[in-house]
Amino acid sequence: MATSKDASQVYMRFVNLATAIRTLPTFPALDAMEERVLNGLAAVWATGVDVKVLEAMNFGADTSPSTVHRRLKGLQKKGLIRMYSSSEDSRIRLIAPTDLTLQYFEQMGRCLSLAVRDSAR
Amino acid sequence: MIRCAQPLLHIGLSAALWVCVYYLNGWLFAALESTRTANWVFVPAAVRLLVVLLFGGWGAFGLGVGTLITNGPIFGWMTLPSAAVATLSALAPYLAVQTGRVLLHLSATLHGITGVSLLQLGAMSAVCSVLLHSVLFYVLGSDSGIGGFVTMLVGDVLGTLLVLYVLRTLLVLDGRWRKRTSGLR
Repeated sequence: MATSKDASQVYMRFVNLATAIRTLPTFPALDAMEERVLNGLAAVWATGVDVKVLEAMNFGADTSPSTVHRRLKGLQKKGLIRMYSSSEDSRIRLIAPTDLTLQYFEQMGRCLSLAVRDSAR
Repeated sequence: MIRCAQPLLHIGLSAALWVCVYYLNGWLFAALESTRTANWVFVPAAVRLLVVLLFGGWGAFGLGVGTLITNGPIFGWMTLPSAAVATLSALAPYLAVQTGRVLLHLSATLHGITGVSLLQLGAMSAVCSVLLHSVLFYVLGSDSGIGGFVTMLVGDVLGTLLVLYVLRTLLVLDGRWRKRTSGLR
């Protein structure tokens, strides 16, 4: 009896361990709002300019600037954006992408290609 | 008889896995070996963690047996230093996992373990193992100083990360393959 209990315990450990390994962190997890802010920033970065923090705070018509600012801080903490002062006017803070941001969008692009390929079959 | 079979199986599996991965590591990362007891990538560190998480105390015992075998050419067969290193190899991950389980509120079946907590347990196991081994090597007089400590710590952390992320990739690929063969989209 004890042996079968031990065996089931080892099996449960194995299942839980496999689940944990599958959920090992790769990219920092983003919530829906952070993703939206990051996508908004990427749209501007694609034009070749860095975004002013004040501009970014007014991205969402249905979102308060303070909410966006909190998300910007979160993205900065996760290493997905970099904030720096403008060389022309130190009062202006700009937002630039990091290497991790570029990797994030590359991965998103790969996921999209896979999804398109799978749906075309 | 049957009651003994399962612990023996866990001990045997742990020891065999340790010996195989130890020699595989020596072959794969021979160029990164700093000293005979320190390598910049030490994959068996992951075996220590996973075996103790899966099989508990019996897994740790198996690690001790496996380390006795792999220690032979370095410290001599059945010598006191060899037995001491083997004991620490078994004890360090066991202590780290038991302490980590209490700190992370994990049950005996590891219910609620996440990827992040697995990494935390890996880090604890690496630090505990390297600290105890460094103290022992200092006592034995085969201490290679802070350099050896750093090499062992980096090796254990990198080795654990390497194995965990290879396993993660395999599990993800397996999931995709099953999905594809079952016709699910």
